[in-house]
Amino acid sequence: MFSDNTAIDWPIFSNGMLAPSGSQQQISEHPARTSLDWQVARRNQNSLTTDIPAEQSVSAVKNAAQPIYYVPKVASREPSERASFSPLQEWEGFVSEIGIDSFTGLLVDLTAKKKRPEEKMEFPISDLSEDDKSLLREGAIFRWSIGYQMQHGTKKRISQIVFRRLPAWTRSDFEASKRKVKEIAENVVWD
Amino acid sequence: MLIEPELEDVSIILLGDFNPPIFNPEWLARHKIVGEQAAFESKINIIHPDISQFSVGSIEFVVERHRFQLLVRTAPFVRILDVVSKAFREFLPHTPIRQFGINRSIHFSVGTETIRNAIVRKLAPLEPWGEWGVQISKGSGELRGGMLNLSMFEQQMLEKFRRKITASVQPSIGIPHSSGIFVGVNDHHEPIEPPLSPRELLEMLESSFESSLDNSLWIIEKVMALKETVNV
Amino acid sequence: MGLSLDGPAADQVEITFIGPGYGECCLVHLGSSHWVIIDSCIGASGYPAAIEYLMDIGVDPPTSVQLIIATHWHDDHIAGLAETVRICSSAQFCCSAALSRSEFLANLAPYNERTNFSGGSGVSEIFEIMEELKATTRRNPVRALASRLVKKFEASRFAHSGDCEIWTLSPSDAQFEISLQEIGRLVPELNWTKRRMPSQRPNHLSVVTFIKIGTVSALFGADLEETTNPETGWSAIVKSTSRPQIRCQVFKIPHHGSVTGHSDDVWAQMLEAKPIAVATNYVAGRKPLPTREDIVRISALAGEFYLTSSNQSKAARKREPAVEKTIREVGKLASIASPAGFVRLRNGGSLSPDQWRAELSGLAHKK
Repeated sequence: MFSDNTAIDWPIFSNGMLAPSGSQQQISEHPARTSLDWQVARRNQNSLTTDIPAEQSVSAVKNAAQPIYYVPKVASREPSERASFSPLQEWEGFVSEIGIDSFTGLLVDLTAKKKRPEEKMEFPISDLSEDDKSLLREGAIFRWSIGYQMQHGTKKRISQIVFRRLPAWTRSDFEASKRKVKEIAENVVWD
Repeated sequence: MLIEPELEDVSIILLGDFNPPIFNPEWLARHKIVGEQAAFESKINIIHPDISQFSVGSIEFVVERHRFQLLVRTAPFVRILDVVSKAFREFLPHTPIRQFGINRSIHFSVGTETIRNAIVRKLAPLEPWGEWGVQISKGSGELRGGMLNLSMFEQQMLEKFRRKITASVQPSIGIPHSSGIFVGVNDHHEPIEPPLSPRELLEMLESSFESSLDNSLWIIEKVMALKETVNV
Repeated sequence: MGLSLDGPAADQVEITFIGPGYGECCLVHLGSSHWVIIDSCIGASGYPAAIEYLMDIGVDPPTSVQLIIATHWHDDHIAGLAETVRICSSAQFCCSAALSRSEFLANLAPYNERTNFSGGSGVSEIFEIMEELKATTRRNPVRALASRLVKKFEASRFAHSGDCEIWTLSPSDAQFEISLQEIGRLVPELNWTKRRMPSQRPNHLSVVTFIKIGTVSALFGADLEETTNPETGWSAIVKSTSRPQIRCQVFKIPHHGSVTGHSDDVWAQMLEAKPIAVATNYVAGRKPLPTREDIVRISALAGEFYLTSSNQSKAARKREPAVEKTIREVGKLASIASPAGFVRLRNGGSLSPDQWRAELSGLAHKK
């Protein structure tokens, strides 16, 4: 849509407000809370500020040669409508045993920056979404988060278990494994 | 966290060469990068050769030809890392990825507009602005003025990467009664040289994601801590 | 720690068992500052418990530890072992012969590849150890096999003037072959989502260790379970004629006291009457071990029976009220890592050879 990088360089912060013009921004920076906000702001840019940065004259020339797509604002992105859930407490766990109605997870307390499992919990399988039930197997890794969800001005305490959709084993993983084993075999001499 | 956030989001942004129409909920579900139910309930804004924008569950996707962006507002934030890892390691391993950024931003309330203004004045005092600072200080209500944005950055040379961490502070428009502050941290990595393979970039992203979020929170808490230092 | 911080005298034998409820480690002082470490768990400081203990009592691990034995790669037996191997630079490393075979390691290796799990894994520890063993300055590692003398020290080495032999009594060839097939079934397939390696039951490759120091002897059962196959499990060990035919005074109960690790023949033929028995608890499973029935069974057979910890569900660390309330709504969160309990047995020196003094600390207790 904005195929010239200088357009992308227009720094519009996550707050929905314009950045000072002319600043050199890292173009990996998230320019707006959502791209939809960014697009709306971009479209209305000239009405939001009267300062014209040096880059704009260049980009205006470039833009004139290229099609500009208008993306209608389908959903409002006003801050009050966004749901946000910041964890007060988070663990990473793995499934150690699976029963009929529940599974046992051994848990690493990420919030306390622990490095090894120090707690265990039995979780009802009914607490899992259908998508996550399909991932339940021994050794599967999950995150358990507890905190407050904010949405539409209301605050709700929630607990959420999400299984991690980690990359699958690939051919290059198996090849890397074989190389490692070969290297060990060649370098470790047994009595 | 020193102050509980009102709003928070985490995003990963990759710069490289992408094919936006590939990225859509059906493709993601077919490859088990997201769940089927989540894909079924997804919201699509546009799937177009130049841009794809949709959300699956609480993950928001924006994919352009040279920019791939995932944003999530709800924990566990590591989900977006898993999407990137799975998509680009398993199914698109040859996608040229050249740089990445990990972003974390938080809106938090400091209680009152007075406290908010005191914090903002501490970060960006008006005195150095002389008479103009005096004029700004006279504005109130809808005519209040002062700091619009303050950014600080740090640069580091890692073994294979140049890292630049930029933190930006603004009065929050997301929190009512003008009592909020927004802090956004961008943690940007680019290879020093020569160009690294996408695999190496992904490895760096994977190994630095959690520590980057921790570091961003550490920075954000520096601003949060100012609440205790202002006398109002 | 709770124990006195005096190290053993040069002419004393010491056997110390460490168990935090999830994890197990045994240390043996052979005499004259020669130590052996069997398995590893993490201590209170986050370091390997064996290293913490040795340093607490004034022992220098890099020079004093002669041998480190990894009985198998389950997380609770191997946590921190790579670091232990790294620190104990003079020690020879011993593990199941299976791990010296490429085809076996090749089955484990995919589970070492970037699972991205925060908590580490036994498989990762094994590969970290293998990396450490590549260093040419280290002594060559030695394979644990059935009825194998892995280390012998002459009597002249020790102030107590007793010789020392360290034997491994398992795995047998049959155990190895079965295990190779079973591990083969656990090898991940292309396109499986990465996860941690599932546990392998029964444990066919656990290394059982026999240590004789002068007239003192001890049997360390690791996690070996009895099976119905006489060529595997404890049956294979008991009937072996090439193992040392010496009855032991001290017995580290296998598999956390569970009935699957029990063999009447071991008690009848490999142990003295009423030996000292020590078991480490395992609280991470649905059913904590040892059970009440296990304790009754073992108590009837042992002269003294010690546990390194308690099965009583320990409350998890306290968190802020909103989190605590939510946890309660989901279920019961239990801690599996208490401060380690110690059972320390010392013999010799001023004590007669058949007299052991036991010291306990933490949650360790006598049944």
